Amino acid sequence: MNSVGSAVMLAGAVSSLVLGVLITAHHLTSARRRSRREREAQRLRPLVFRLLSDPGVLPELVALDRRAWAAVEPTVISLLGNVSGAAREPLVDLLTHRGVLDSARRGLRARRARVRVEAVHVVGLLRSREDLPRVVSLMRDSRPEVRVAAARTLGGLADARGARPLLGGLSCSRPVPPHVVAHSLLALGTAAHPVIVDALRHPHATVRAVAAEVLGFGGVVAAFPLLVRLLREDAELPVRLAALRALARTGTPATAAVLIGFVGRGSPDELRIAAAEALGALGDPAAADTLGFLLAEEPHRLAHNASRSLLRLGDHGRDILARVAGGSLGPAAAVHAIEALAWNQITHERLAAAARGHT
Amino acid sequence: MILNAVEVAGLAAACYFLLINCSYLVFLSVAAVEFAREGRHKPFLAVDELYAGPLTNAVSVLMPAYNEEAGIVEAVRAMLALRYPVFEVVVIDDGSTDETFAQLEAEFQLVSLPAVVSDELPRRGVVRSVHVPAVRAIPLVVVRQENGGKTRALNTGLCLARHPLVCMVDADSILDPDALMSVARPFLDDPFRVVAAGGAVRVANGCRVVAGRLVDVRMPRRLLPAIQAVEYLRVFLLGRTAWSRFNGLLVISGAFGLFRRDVVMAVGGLDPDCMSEDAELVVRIHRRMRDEGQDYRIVFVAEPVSWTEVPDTALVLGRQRKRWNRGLAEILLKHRRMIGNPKYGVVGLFTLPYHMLFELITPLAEFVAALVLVFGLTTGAITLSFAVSLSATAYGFAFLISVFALTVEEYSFRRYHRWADLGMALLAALAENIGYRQRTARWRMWGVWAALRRSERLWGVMPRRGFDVPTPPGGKRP
Amino acid sequence: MTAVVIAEDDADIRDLLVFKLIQDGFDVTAVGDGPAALDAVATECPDLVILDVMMPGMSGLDVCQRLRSEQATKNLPVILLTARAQEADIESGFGVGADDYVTKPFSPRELLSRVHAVLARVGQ
Repeated sequence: MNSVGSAVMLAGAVSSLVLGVLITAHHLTSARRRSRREREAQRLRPLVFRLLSDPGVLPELVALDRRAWAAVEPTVISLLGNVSGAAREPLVDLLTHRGVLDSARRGLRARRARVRVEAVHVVGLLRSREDLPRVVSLMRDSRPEVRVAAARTLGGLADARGARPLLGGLSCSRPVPPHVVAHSLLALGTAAHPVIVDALRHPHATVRAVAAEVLGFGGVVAAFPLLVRLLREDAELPVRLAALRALARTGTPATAAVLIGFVGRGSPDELRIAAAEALGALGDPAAADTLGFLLAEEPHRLAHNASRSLLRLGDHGRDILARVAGGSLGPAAAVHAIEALAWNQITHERLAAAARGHT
Repeated sequence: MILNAVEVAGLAAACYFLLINCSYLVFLSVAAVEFAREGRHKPFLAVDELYAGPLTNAVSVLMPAYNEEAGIVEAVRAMLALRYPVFEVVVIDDGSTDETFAQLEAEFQLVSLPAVVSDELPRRGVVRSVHVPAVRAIPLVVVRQENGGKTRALNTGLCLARHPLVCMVDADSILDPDALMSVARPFLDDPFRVVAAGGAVRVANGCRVVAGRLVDVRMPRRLLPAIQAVEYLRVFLLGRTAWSRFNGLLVISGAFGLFRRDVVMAVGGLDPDCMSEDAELVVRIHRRMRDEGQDYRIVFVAEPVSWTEVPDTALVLGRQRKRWNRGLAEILLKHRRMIGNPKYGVVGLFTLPYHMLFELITPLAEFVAALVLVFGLTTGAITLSFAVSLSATAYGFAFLISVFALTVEEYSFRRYHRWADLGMALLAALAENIGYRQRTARWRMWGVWAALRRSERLWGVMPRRGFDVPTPPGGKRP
Repeated sequence: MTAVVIAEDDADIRDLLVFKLIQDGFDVTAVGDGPAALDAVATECPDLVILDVMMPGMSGLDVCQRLRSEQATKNLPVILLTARAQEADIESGFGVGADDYVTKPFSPRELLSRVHAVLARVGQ
């Protein structure tokens, strides 16, 4: 018993010591490495900046030794994500010459997930479209972080061929977060729209919702009837809400007339609330009367959104608010109208103050 | 006979500590593996880009304030400067008797707005007035309510919040500029399941703070807060990460928690009758979700997002620990039907029983161990070698755990850059076992006792302060 | 010489801007956050300020509003720089009285031409 006890205690003491040594070693080396790297980076960054307008310095950067390159590579990568136009080309050239693209290509097949993530990210930054098939296959990777990185890269590559695999990433057994897919789909531009419009009929609710959401930003008139149908008939509330938001953003003249049909008591509260808000964004004065009546309705947020939307419908909207504030729909509606009118006053004064400050 | 009883008590305490420390070791290993897998160094991933899209969830930051004139303006300004695409700040002035509101009014040129506050939560505060900036288009709302406590203030804020996510923060916390981005990320990555997320809280004592912003991270220079700094580090690294991994997270710190507003409203907001209202809310959400058979996640983000001033006197620390353990006891009492109930999954079968066994009862074991050591050695009731074994399992092992936690911190976050900080941390890890643990055990025991007797609450006014005034604050549950 | 103050928290982008502006003959002061930008404006009395919108401590919009609200800097030209290409941001950017707006990723050459354009407009 006693000898076992001492052995355990010794083990504990030794592990404490080992951990202490580990901390010290890490503290020592990382501080040293960091300061050395910072010095190198400071020295070499002007060279990178010069490269943006003067390709003549390319050979000098290509010839850097490994340590110097390690110090300056993060700057190159960060600039690549932040500059556009003619400044991009020399950076891409530099990374290609340094073999970064080749090693990223190898990295796409690496065993360690982290290497795959970084590799697929670099492929996206360099917009290497020829690697698209391999990136698509990574959308099915067993590790979620790799799938997310692949989905982002499909957006970065801005190739319409990426649309189908991106949407597929929403409904398979190894899913990709909807916001990542939506973000990337937006980056694909109009060429991807036919595929996205098709996805409005997909059996999986998430696919329909994301497709609807994305089409709202493209202003796709062709999708209008389908979006209206989703708003009317879809079994899933998130899909109906997405369709509603999309319709509110596309804003064709017919939209307000459609949305007015969803603020009534027959619709779920979430839909009524969103529709009341959207009618303000659309700015069609024809909605004003309906919105006015909503001020007397529950829930609170419905009346609130309706009152703020009325402010955006011009004189007619403000007239209605003034009448409701006077008590035409009862006291519960009046307080919402009074709040909206006060808010209107404040925003006007803010604008006036900004204008004064500017001139 | 007496000798025997002492030895049995000592043995029981030793077994208890062996078990608890082994569980810590398991937790810490889970966290270490998790961190190593994730890889904290992601030079290639630009967070900004991720949030640049139009699809990000907007956040309402709720900030209750009571007599915070010293730091309120700085706190609000820091909050407004968080890096996040769309958010608003709702300050709830809980009937302050000092210049809290006047300070805000002057700084942000507030005017009153006859706003209609919804009655979705019956237990919100009684609203006196709502104010918004008159001149500049700052997303700020200040509500004044009759004094009703922090919990009612938060409920008022929940009613006024416009955005789908709500973030509850303390006015005297210092937030990392990327705090919202880090903690909102789980909601983006898994939007259908994630209902709440919390981040790690660290100790601000000793750090340099300029204009509500942390500019230099340092260990506290005094021992009492330094011990708490190591304690916070360990609690967050050990417990939370591992519990979150198995979806059994019980506490999201009131100092920084992000929730889906609709879910919080559906469970009825915060409970003003609970002392640890933040933890109670999380338990209630777990309960509701499991009752409804929903697939959900409550996530802990290990990134340090919030820095809080901890008590630097034994008096305030004592009050705080008493309050915490009382809060925990109240929660376990209130939700006792969940304990051991397989219907509540990991929370019912593991988290709650674990907290009962290893949080609530720990002070008793501490007390027994100390008693056995002192009494046993002076009377010769136990042998020296037995005393050494007991100390090793209770204190030596705990020290090892702390050093392990410090190692994980050094490799994954590395927020402390100086050798002096490292030294202080190690010293604190050692000193924690001598005096500190025994004293906090006493306070914690009182807390449980108070909860059982349901005696009158005596937390009264939480002493808070700005960062330049030398009165001790109340501090937050880590 | 025309003086410019730059506030940008990303060191790589900040240094790039400094490099480009110096190359173009400007006298440049660069800082990493909002409060430092206000200090720099007070001490350097620049002819133009470039502000990143998302900065820790105090956002670029905040700094801009601050500059507008003070007599001495009421008319100081401001260009905002941001990663967020959203209508609402551009609105709030002009709402606080910015003279121009550049979204990231940006073309350094385009930014420079905007700097010149804003200065020319003010000089008229």
